[in-house]
Amino acid sequence: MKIAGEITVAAPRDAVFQALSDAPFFASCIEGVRDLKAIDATHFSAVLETRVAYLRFNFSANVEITGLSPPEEIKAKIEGTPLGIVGRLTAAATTRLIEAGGQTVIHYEIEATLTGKLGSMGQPVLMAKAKDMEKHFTERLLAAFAAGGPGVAS
Amino acid sequence: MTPFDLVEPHSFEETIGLIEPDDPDVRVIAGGTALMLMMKAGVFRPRRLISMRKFASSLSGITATSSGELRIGAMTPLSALEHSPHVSRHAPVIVRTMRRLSNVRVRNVATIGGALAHADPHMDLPPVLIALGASVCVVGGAGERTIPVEDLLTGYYETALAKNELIAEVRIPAPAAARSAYCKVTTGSADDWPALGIAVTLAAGGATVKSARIAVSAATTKATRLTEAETALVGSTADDGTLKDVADIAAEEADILADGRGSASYKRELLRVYVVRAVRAAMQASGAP
Repeated sequence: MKIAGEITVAAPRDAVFQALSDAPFFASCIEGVRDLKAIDATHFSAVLETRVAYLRFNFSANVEITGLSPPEEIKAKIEGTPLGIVGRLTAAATTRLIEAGGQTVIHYEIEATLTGKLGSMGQPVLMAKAKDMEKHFTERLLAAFAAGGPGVAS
Repeated sequence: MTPFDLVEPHSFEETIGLIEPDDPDVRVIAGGTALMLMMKAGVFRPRRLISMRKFASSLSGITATSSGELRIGAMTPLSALEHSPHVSRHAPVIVRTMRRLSNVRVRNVATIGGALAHADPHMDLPPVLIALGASVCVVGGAGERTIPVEDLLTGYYETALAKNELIAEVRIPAPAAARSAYCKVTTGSADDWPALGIAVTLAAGGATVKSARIAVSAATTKATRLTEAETALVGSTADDGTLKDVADIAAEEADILADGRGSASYKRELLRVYVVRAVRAAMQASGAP
């Protein structure tokens, strides 16, 4: 499953890069993330709780920043283990920042794979949920910059 | 599966009283064929299931009114629809759909109400019922109301039902010289869950399409009507040029989602091809939907 899109933020590229590479701010833009812990400068763990209709999905997730090229690109690898379901979520995310006349275009691509029972039963419904989460992430990110930047918002 | 309580009330009213609207882990179960799969996979872990089995017979049955409307009790098993002379006469597309809907063991247990309330977009019946213009009669704490099936389904596993409402009956209007077809595309066996489902009901005056209802499923988050494609079809003779336009409009209009049975681009192409086949099949079907 591939998720790709663009978000245009009315802020300079350096500021956007700074915000996106700040793990607590990044996590605050994702609905349902809690217990974010920094293991070291490039490794983080968190719990993701998400809900679709009457179903609840809980993931214990590990995130590794695999590439950081300021102020242009951030690459990350995510591994999630669902609680109570046999399976695994693995994802590779690439974010590129492009300058566009004082604004910054965030171009993102996430390639995610769900295996086991999670994949066969959960994939369609989680993919539908991913669209909602994408929209929610965009709204929170834009709201943070509209409020004067992530530092002010958080 | 994790342990859970099973409650078996003896009436519809008692069932409604047992629902806990604020606890999603308390769930009403009809045939249970879909819910059991989710429970075995660990996707759904209920605290309590409220079974409607004890009074299923009072909510089962198929009748046809004098005007030709079909009334089907919510707990009617799918196999009863498959073998009903009323359904065969008034909505033969349902009988044809049953032949590739899972297997006889599932059809003997799964119910029409459950197939709608479960709201999995991969179900075969919802697009067919939408194309037929069906509605559901629902009963709950606030009394009784009727909802068209196209408005009942609101998202993946989500419906317009209030938390203390249950489907009591499905109503399919009189055919009105309509013709219907359902095309199911699977990437596994013929009776597998579909990669795409498309249902069409047409009313034709001579060679001209007078009205059309087209519904897509399995490639979208819910069974959905394609109203722009319908508009493009109405007034035409369903000629090759029109059908090409209908295919393009349908592929553009549907909000396609990938799943384990195909990518979004693959499903979009399937829709482009199968909407044409479904319209042609409906045009060639006999004069009952």
